[in-house]
Amino acid sequence: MRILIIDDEPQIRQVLRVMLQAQGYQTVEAANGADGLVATFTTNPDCILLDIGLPDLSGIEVLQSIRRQSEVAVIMLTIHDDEQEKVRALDGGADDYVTKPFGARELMARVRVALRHRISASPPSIVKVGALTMDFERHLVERDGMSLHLTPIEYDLLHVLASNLGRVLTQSQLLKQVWGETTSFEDVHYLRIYIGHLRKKIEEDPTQPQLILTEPGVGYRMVEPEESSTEC
Amino acid sequence: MKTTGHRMASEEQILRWRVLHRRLKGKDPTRARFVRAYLQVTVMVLVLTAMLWIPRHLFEPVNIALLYLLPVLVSAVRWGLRPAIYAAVLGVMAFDYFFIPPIFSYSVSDLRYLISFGVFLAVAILTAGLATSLMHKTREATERERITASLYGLSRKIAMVPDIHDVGQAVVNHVGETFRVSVVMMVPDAKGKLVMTAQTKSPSLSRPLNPNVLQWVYRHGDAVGYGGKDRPEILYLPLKTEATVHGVLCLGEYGLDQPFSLEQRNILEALSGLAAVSVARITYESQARIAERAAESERVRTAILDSLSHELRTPVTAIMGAVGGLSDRQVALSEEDRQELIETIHQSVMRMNRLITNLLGMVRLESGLMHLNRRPCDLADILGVVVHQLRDSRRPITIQLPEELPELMVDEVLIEQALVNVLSNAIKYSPDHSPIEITAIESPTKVRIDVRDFGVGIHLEEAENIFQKFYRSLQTQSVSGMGLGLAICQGIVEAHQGRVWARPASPQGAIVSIELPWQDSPRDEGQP
Repeated sequence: MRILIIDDEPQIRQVLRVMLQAQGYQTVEAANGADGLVATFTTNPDCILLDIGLPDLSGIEVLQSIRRQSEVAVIMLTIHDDEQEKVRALDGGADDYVTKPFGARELMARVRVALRHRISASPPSIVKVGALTMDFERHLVERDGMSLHLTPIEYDLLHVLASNLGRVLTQSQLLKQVWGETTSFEDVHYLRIYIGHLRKKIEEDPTQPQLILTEPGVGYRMVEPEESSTEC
Repeated sequence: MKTTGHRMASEEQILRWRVLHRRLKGKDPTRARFVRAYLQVTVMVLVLTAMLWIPRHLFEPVNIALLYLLPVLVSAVRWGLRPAIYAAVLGVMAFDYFFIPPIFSYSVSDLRYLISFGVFLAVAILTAGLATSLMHKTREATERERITASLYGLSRKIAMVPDIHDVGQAVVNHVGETFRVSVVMMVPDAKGKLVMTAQTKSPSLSRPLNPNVLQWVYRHGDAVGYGGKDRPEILYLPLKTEATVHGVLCLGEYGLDQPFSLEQRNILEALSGLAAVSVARITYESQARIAERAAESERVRTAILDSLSHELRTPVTAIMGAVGGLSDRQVALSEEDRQELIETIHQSVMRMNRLITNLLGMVRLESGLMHLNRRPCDLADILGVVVHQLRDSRRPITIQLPEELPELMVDEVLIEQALVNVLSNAIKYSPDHSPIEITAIESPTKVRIDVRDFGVGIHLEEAENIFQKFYRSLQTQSVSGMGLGLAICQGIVEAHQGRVWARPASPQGAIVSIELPWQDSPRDEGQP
């Protein structure tokens, strides 16, 4: 597995290189957008870590150039305070993002998820998350062995989220995949309501969700529930 | 009155103006008035003589002589001492000529009459003197009373007024009403340039003030009357205390050849003195305030720098120490020690990250760069995210929400930051493992989010201060921090037209409440 790191800060590249190599990945590095594009097409990486603020091209521009040619997994490295930029990157084809400063665990989890989704094109028909078992072949959703009754839209929503387990989905991505193409900004309202209904059915404590997490200003992400641990 | 001609270098034409010297004594009767007084005395004596001539056989000469004292007294009271003496002399002459035998002659048959004349003159002059001085005293008393009343009236209006413009307005209104003229007060601004501070509304001056005269009066501290026969007079009075001139009071104008009288100027002098004291008081007060504020901000800046360098250096020191320990091959570390050092690095990094986030947030708030990206949001969702972010604290956090809350039109990310700051504050100032309670209470127009902890709590009198930036509660000095979190929270909440406040909870702990308007009228939450 080869991972391309495009970031202008040598220290960040160094840390990423060490972390990734320790996990058994090969790494390639580029310090700016132009070099990064060249490296994308010459080294044929499996995943790209792309900084959103590069000295020559913007991360979004680099992403667009990559997407015109390749379906390689791209994870954006962003800074905290620009949610709209994150949404633009995700809607523009990025697989996911991590926010600087990020921990090794978080980054590795994102990389693993992105690689998994790129390798297996069709999602598994049975997904187990925490106490939840979803069999999309037989249209069955169980929690602790008890069958759950979901409305068709709740089921579709859960299907989309579970198929992208570990990956963030923007509101517009979810709307498109669940309701189809005819969506408007107004529908975000309904999306929120259905997420709420879904949480009431699948979460242990809907006020403190563990399975469907909100990424404020961006969208939702379905994750494996964390065992309480402080490691970062 | 002394009139001094001055020529102002910058004036293209010679203008007549006079410097009014302080406290000019004496009266200023014009020559015409003077002549008229003597004529009236003469007429009075003549009329009296004519009236006494007809029934002269009925009177003894002594009675007649007494009656001649009448014009003397009248003259003394009306015109003063000299016309009175004139009346006395004239009276004696008329008495001698018409009533003392031989009649129609100044010769006297009985020499005893000469003694009578002498006594008459002496009595007349003495009486006249007494009457005149009495009249002067009455007049002075009246004038003093007027000045006192006027001063009292003004002093009551301006005694406690803290603002220079209000004092100026009170002074010009009072002076304007007293003299029925337009009044302008000029006081130097921060740069020392004379600017108009107050003026009477109507009537306004018919011609602009002369800046050169203004400057001259301001610099020399002498009153100047500017004007003359061909133009109405404008008075320029310095507002003077001791040796300092604090401004200029300008009055104008009665009309052609109608200068301000001496009496008016005396009152004006007293009034401008009083105004000067007030202006001086305000000037000194504001100077003291500025100095105090400068010292205060100096103190605050030093404290902030100290605190900032402490807050940044402490984690850096911890990281450097831990890294040094980990990288030193000569130190044999147990696995437990290694874990501890790594945990130290982790904690320090998180602490620095929090501080940087807050500092950046503060800068963004202060520079006005923060723009709200308002969108409909679900409060339950935001609270879930906030609690998820702080899951490392391992506190029992309970959330109590009403069912089916309407949507909130806010900037999700900023409100989340505000809530994270409140919640991490609650965690920071309460003992480990103590619970935190979050409650939302809705009303038709707004929603209130209470965050309650069971920690050290706050004093009621501190409850407002904790939202000031860089404020640290006295009882929690030992806990590290910059005092930015709640200030940022307040900035964000107020940008949403909401408010945030804190109060002590009983029996212990504190409650921080955030109140946000729904903004949009609550929507119908029916199924689509």
